[in-house]
Amino acid sequence: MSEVNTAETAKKVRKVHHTGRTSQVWIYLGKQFRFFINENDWKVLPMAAVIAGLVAMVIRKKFFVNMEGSLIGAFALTCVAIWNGCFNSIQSVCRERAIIKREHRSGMHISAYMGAHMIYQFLLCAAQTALTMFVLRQLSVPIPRGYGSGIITPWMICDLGISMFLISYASDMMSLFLSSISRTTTGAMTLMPFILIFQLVFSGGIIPLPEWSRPLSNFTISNYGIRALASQSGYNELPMTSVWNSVSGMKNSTIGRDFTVAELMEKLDSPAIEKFKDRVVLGTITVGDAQEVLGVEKDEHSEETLTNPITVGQVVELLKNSKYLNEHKDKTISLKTTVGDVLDILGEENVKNFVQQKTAEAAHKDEYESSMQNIARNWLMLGVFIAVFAALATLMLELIDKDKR
Amino acid sequence: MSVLMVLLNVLSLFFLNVRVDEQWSYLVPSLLTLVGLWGVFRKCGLNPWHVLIPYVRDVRLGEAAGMEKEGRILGFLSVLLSFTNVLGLFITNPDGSESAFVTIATIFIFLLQFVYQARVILALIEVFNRKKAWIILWMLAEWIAAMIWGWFKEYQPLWKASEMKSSAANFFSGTKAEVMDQGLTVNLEERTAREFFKTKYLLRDIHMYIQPGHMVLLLGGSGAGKTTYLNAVNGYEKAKAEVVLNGHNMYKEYKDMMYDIGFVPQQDLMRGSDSVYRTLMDAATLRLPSEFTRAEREARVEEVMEIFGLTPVKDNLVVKLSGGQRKRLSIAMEFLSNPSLFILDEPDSGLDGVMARELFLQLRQIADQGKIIIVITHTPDRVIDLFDDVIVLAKDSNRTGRLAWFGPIDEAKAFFGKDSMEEIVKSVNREEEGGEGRADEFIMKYAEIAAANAGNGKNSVPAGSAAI
Repeated sequence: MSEVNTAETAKKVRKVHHTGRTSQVWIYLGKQFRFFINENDWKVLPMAAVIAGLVAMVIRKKFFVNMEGSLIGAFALTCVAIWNGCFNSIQSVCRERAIIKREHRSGMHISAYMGAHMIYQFLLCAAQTALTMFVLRQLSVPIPRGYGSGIITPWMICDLGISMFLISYASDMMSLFLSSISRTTTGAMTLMPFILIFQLVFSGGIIPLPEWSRPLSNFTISNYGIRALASQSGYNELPMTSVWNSVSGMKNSTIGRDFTVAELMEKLDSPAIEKFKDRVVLGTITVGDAQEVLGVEKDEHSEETLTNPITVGQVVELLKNSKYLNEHKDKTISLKTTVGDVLDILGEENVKNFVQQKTAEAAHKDEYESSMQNIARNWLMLGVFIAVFAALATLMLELIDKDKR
Repeated sequence: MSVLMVLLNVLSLFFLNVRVDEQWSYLVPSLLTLVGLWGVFRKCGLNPWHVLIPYVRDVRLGEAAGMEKEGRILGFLSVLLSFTNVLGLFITNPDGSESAFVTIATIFIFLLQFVYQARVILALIEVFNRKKAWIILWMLAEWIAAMIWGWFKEYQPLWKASEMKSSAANFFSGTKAEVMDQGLTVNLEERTAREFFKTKYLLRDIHMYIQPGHMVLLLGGSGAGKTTYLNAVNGYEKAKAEVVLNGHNMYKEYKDMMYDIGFVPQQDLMRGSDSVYRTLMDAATLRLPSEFTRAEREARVEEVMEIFGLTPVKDNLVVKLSGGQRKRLSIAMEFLSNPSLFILDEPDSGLDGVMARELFLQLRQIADQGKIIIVITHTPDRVIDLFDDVIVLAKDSNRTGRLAWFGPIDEAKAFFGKDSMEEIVKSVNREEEGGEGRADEFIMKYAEIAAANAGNGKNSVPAGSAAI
């Protein structure tokens, strides 16, 4: 074989410095943007707009209008943000895991690589959020407008946008973490539905959770996202309309039915009646009471007692022992009316106000309080998710050399 | 439920995964399965009494099938399943959340167990050289299949688990390669991996010295540990070893040395969305020292593109390149930093004969510049004239990768008594892989030569051709 140039291969100068982390971030940021252009990553932007449009069509007459609509709107927008975030990055690391391994052994710093991903995903989430807010406004979702409409910033749309961005970016970092622990894209995509279902079911917003599982919602991004958005929509200040709408929609419904005397007498032995047997139904009647009813002037006998108090139990006994009732046990009594008639008797407006006020009181939730502190607390929690998942993703990818072949 | 019945249920669930009170009709098939497996274990040279011990039964079945890791996982899952079943005995409220948890866990473990059992049985079918369709009977009516395989004379395994302990597997050369100021010295004692609570030896007793300027072929059957060996040599997956390149310990100085090693993986691991020029420029930024100016990096990239014939396609996206161009780009990326040690894992995969020869000629030219080049290829004979030495790795009867030869090509042919490299590989491959199954013979023979050389005061192990 040819002559060997041993001089060249002799000891090289060691301890030479190579490209540092900051410069490497720029290399990988460049790769991300080339990927965005050349590998159709840009498609996530129009997709975000389409998803926002679909959701806007559903929530635009309810969001910021009543309690139920605001909660559904907050849930739907949280779903949109989580969906966008998750699918931005779920494949971004695992699809090039083998390339990362190769580059890592050539001097690539994992922290620089992940740093580039974080910057790129930050910009992607920001663009998606801006598009989503634009679509919501264009499709007339009744978001308060004008200076001073916001709670933290002067504009409500900015407040909502920040919440949406934080939910989206936290989900993005969560997916980046999943992508960094998955060996293949198939593995990551298999894991994804479990995570999405966990986020949506255990959000604690829409689906009532059993007692034991409630603490789990503290570990979901969706929980803090829904809280932030519901707080911004003024959930606690809005009326609850669903119960009144149900009652109102039943105006023509008939209530009541035909009873026999025997059926009514059987009810006298029910536990409900038994419970109130000592309750007084008719208090003591004095001579003065009778004089007042008859329009006779009161005199010195006015204080004298005419009857003692009568209790429920006494009335029940009276009815049960009534000879007339026992003789006519088979007789039918008709007791029927419509909901509309009952509302007329009680006053429709009174009932409406009463129902809306009472149901809103029952649905009031401290965690949806429209205060600056409450919203800031939820934003902070979303920030914690971002930091934790970003750190975990970097940490897990640092172990890439431990991959088994 | 009486205390006696609970006790009976616990015992039968643990040993047979059957509840005596509710599933008594399954008891007979479960017992027959054990009887059948007793026969299978005997035929495979295993202690049949182990059939009676849960977990151990599955581990041994895995050994019989040559799937030790899967066997251990299967055993672990069986114990877990027994545990959840026993737990179910003590749950009084079937509508409670505890019951839901146990049910979900049981279903999950059962599915996993099903998958691992299928894997082990499929391997056992290969050991018994039967049709894959047997898996259906094994999974649906295990007792029938076990009884047939265990007690019918026609059903015999191709090899026995007990045969795995041979003298070659425990024979080591006890020598070391001398450390030189130039070239590559490898003294690998062992490379192990933990697999489900057990240490597995991937490589053992590999010692050699490769001179600068040598192009070395790395041969070995599938699973012989070729890639593991290369990863151990370049310091990427550290072994219990001393690897010295040009006087520098690769393991101790890995952070500095990694730029002096070019490793070209089998797959073309590059981003399709980058252009050729961008790929090389980014690689240059990563690999070249930071004192290189942008102009110097660009000049180096231009030079390397010229060497590898990539200049005409410099603006093309990687995804648009042909197989040969991609391979050359992959090698060029590593060549940028002018490494002393160049390792290539099947660089000719996917290339036709002409293109492959051209590629190996380029590698020869690189070696002639004083670099050490180690290449894995599955079609060595068409380019064997370009190589100086050959390393032959083979699996011993413990399935550990061992050195069966290191030295010049012609001597290798004489050592194995073969005319071509492909025949050499065939001679060390196992019989069930279509080989001659002579790995142990050559491992021992080579270790004896190495030991004899050490005794004669020669270079402790046979060195590359130039040294001899």
